[in-house]
Amino acid sequence: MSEKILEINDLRVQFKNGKEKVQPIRGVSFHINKGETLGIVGESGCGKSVTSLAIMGLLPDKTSEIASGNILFNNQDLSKLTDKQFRKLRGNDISMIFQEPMTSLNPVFTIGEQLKEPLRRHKNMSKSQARKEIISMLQQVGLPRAEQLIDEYPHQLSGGMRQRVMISLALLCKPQLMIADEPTTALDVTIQAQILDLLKKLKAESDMSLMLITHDLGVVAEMCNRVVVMYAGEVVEEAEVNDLFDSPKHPYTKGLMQSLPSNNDRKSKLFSIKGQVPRPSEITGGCAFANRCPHVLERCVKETPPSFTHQNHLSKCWLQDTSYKEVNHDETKGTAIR
Amino acid sequence: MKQKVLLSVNNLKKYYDIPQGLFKEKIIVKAVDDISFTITKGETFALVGESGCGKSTTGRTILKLTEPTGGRIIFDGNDIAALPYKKMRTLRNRMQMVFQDPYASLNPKKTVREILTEPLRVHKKFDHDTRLKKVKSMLEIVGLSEYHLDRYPHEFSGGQRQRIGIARAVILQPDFIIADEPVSALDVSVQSQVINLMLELQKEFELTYLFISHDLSVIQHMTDRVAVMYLGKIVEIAKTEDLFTNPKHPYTKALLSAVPITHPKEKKERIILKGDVPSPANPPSGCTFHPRCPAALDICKTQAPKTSEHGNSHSVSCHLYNKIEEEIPHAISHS
Amino acid sequence: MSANLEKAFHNEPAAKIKSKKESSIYRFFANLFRSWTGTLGFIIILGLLFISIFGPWITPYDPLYADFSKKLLPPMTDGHLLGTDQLGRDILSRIIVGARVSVIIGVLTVVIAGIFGTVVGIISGYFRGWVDVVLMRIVDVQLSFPFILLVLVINAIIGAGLRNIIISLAIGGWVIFARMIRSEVLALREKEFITACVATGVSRFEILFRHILPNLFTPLIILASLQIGTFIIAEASVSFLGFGVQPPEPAWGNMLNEGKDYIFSSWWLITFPGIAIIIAALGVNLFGDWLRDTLDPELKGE
Ligand SMILES: Nc1ncnc2c1ncn2[C@@H]1O[C@H](COP(=O)(O)OP(=O)(O)OP(=O)(O)O)[C@@H](O)[C@H]1O
Ligand SMILES: Nc1ncnc2c1ncn2[C@@H]1O[C@H](COP(=O)(O)OP(=O)(O)OP(=O)(O)O)[C@@H](O)[C@H]1O
Ligand code: SF4
Ligand SMILES: [Mg+2]
Ligand SMILES: [Mg+2]
Repeated sequence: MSEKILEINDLRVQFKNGKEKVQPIRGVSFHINKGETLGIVGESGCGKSVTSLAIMGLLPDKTSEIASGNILFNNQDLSKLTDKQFRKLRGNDISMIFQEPMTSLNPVFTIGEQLKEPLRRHKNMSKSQARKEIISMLQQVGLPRAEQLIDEYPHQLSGGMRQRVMISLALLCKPQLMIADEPTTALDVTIQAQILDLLKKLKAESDMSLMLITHDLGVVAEMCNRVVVMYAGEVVEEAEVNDLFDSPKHPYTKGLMQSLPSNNDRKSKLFSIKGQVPRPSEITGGCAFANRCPHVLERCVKETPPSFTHQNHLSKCWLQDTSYKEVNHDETKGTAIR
Repeated sequence: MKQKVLLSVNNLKKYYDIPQGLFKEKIIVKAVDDISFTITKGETFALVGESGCGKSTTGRTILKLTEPTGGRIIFDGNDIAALPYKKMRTLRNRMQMVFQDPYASLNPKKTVREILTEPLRVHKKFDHDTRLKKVKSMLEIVGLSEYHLDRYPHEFSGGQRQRIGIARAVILQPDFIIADEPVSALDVSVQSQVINLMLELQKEFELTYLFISHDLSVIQHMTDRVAVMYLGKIVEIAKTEDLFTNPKHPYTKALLSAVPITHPKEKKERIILKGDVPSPANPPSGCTFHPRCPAALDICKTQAPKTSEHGNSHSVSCHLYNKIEEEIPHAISHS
Repeated sequence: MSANLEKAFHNEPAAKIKSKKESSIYRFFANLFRSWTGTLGFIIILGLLFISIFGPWITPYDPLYADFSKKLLPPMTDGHLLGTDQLGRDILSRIIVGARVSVIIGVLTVVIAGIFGTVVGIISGYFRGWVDVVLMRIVDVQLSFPFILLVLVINAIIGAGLRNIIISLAIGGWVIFARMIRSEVLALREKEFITACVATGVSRFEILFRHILPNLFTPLIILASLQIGTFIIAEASVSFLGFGVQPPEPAWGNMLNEGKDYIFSSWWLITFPGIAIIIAALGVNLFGDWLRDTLDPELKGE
């Protein structure tokens, strides 16, 4: 088995808002192997960004805390690191690309000034050395006229160019792990194609691991080796990408795939998952997907399903419980709650 | 069978002036630059293109939410641009709009009851009790219920709000609805619910849609004809199936090839375009697509292509296709 | 619509309805008590309102009754908690009765200036064109004068007295409202839900009255509560300078004015009204700040 670069065990993150407490991350576990691309898919609000912020140690101090669980990066527990230790790690060993290319660059500094920062801090490079490095990196991500661009301000660049700058920033120190939080969501399809192409090329050239967050199954199909599907703050399914697309196991993943227009006949009624994602406060016991699930059993409402794993294909659903199914197989339909 | 034309747009232009202070010349943004198309009754006509290409502006100008700079819009015999404000107001009960952002398009201070009664009230339809009945049945149709009548928009999720937005547009039983990216802000699982709703409503009320979107898979699923826009111009119009099986314009080809695959085993030939979309304030000369076009000819840099027909109401604006019909000595001698 | 789908939409439980009933008032206080500054401001305002309404009945002495045998008594002597002034009048009683003047001036000025400023702001922002240009130039010109100076000049022209000080403060203060409401209307005009109204066929006036006005309510409440403090202080300043409310009618400002001659010999004459002004203005501002923080969704989002 290949080496794990990142391993998350039963992560729970809590937000405090006055007296109210919400726990949008309710026990997330997954790992990333060296050199692979792991996709994380899920709908808006399911906790993808919070998970990645927790890895980066960027959760807001005052209003949030890691309630339990650990995050192991090369067997070092990140959730126990001090601020100072984190700063050494960030941008150097782990780096991150954010969703919004418009707001993640500081408008008052030139591109060069912003990119210089990590090189000077982590690699102790001289000014001219850093500049050379930056220019070659900008060229590598496919930006034209890198020598001039380095002295320009973010507002002079288009969205796609800014995202390239962000990628070059993330790559500068040759990190072992890159987290890309919806790197193409804010971009047009043709620009998205450029950026995905670039990420693929960069991956092929190095042994960096990539954690790619997205809500687009197409992007997953295109980019990833393995996939983690999240729903309402939990991992509901985890599998090899081909396994997942060939035989999705969790009803949520199945529903998600079936509801894509490209998987339905033209003009026909699309398959759709009824209802909507529950708010964190509405989740009580049982399976979080129970109120929308077409196969819901009595047991689903009462007991939280554990993760069942068959041949590296994990699914958090009572339907995967083979022992249970055999006994109750005939009743399954009858007891389904309508 | 010849269908009745409901809307025809001829040489529509919408330019925005952006003043640059005292000493600089103002910038003119050609948001929509000379586009023409017709929509027949009962069909779903799609406008597709990348951000900033002028899709929303086209929709807004058709509804006279902004004044066109030039061109004519004829809706069922009415010349929209020439209509005075009052007349236009009455015509509005036949043409409605669904907006992209379900959060910004509902007044946060109004209840669902007020939001849905308003169209009926301003067009003086029905008495008070019948209005309420209509509102309730409309809520039922879009998958909400009486129980939601006195709730405020912030109490609903994005998908539910979009249902309210759709209900507001449909309650007057208009002939024509412009849907400006109605599902772009929604999650996949909710998106399919809203698309189903729109298809159902179309059947039930015989609606004609102008469906604006940048999501090609949604367009392929629910529209009859598609116009592809690039930098304020329409570069190709075709029947949906035609466009997806046999795209002609190099931009359409690139756009279709850029759509992510649907299964990891699928292999896809991809056309990666160079560079970014230019600004509509300063569009390239000739064919505005030429700096990114993988097939550009010399003539493309200087001369804007004409629109040519290719059977089955498939039209393209590209020199590659002009050349075939009328030999252009220019293009050959230079390339 | 399938029955299932409908059920899915209905299953937001009854708890929601219950919370709706107790909603506004309950939520107001739940929110208020979370912030100690807001709570303090609210208590001060309540106290201020109480003594300005019941003041005449709860004063220990007649605030106008002069007893020269008891003049300039220091605090805590002869049953005068805060002492007496140069004419032997009880300072506590005068402060209590003076509260009414401050409250009346604060509230009335805000109402008048607010209404006038709002109307101007709406006309400017909604109808634009040359009206906007003219009105905003007037606002600009007025804003280039210091507020207090302007109030003094107007007061000097139209004369002193409670009514006139309100008028002059309102004339000096409406521009702030006009400015803010105008920018608020400009922003609202571009909102998509207003465009949606136009697309529905709602008339221009209905859009203004049914859609824009209700959305101005929150910013208006916030600005008004903050302005009350400003006006209370302004009145005191004007009265201190000898304009405004005239003696022997007790008002905090003219008490300061009368007391200033005794500042070295009898410090309490000027100190206690001063403290009253500070507490009142502080209370209103604390409450206003809290209102802004809770009502303003942009700040709330952080
Ligand atoms: N600072 C915060 N305070 C309180 N709750 C928060 C905070 N940040 C996120 N949350 C909550 O955590 C949950 C997960 O949010 P997260 O941003 O991780 O979603 P996401 O999966 O990244 O969604 P999207 O696709 O919209 O980016 C949401 O319910 C959100 O409301
Ligand atoms: N009110 C306005 N003033 C000036 N320029 C405008 C205005 N509205 C739109 N534009 C410009 O017109 C062009 C077309 O805008 P439009 O909103 O129609 O694009 P779109 O195709 O709908 O894009 P999107 O997919 O992002 O919604 C853009 O370049 C935009 O900047
Ligand atoms: S006209 Fe030329 S540049 Fe434009 S799309 Fe056709 S080939 Fe490309
Ligand atoms: Mg996110
Ligand atoms: Mg748009």
